[in-house]
Amino acid sequence: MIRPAVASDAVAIGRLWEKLVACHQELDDKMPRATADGAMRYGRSLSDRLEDSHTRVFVAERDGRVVGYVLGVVVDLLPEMFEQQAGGFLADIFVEADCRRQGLGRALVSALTDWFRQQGLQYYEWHVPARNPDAVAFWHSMGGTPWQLRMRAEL
Amino acid sequence: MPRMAALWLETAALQRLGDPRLQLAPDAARRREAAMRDWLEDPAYCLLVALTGSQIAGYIIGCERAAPPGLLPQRRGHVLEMTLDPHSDVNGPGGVLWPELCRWFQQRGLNEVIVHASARQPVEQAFWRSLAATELTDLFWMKL
Repeated sequence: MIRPAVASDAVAIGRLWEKLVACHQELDDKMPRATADGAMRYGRSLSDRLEDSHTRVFVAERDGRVVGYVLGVVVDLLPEMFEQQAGGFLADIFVEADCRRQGLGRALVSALTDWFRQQGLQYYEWHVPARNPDAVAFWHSMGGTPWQLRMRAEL
Repeated sequence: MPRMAALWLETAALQRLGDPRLQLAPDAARRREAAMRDWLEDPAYCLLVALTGSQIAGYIIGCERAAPPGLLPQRRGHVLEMTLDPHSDVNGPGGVLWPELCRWFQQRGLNEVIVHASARQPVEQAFWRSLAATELTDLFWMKL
């Protein structure tokens, strides 16, 4: 079942976020690491934004357990010198490893994009780790096209 | 500022030829100049220009930003843009601007910088790779 998140989901979502960050780290140790209290801070940050009309979180629930989530926001992604088209940003998405390949990821994306459309948005964007070929393939299959490459340099 | 905004506009118009998703506002240069003037007054931003004589051969803009909640490092440097005069006959202004901006980042205690390159601009990507930048994420786009 896919449903909008409620405040009592914050701890479960924080744990899923921690797994998402660990998953990225496993693929690429240059990806950002979590702080020691990262899961708590992330969950609290989401809780604070659940009433924000520009933010929406959906969770995937199975047998009473939150096994996945997606976080999306309405945002002006382009600097103001470009023609503004209202757009959305998919900030995070994660599904527990034992629940993958069952359509939950697509269902979460579908719920979020339906909400984006209800907000009158015309496009949305999201980041995909460059060293996660499964994720890159998934997003191509969803119809996404790469726009920018985010690169990192050490000083 | 007017010259930098004009350089930016010329470059953005060229990028738009390769990627029509970029739609410039009718008064884009004026808006860009206003944004640059704001950044010039903001201590979290650094604007550097490369000169050849009295002419601007290019510029780079960097800033310091906080990471999202729970992620490390808590603060990182970001290159907002580097624009070079396509008509300049000076070699390597980018290679001069980058180390100067790095010094500014280092003075602020930052040890990591994020840059964005267009997915359709392999030369731009190659420039950053030549400076030891590595791919972190692909930014995807999709029409709703």
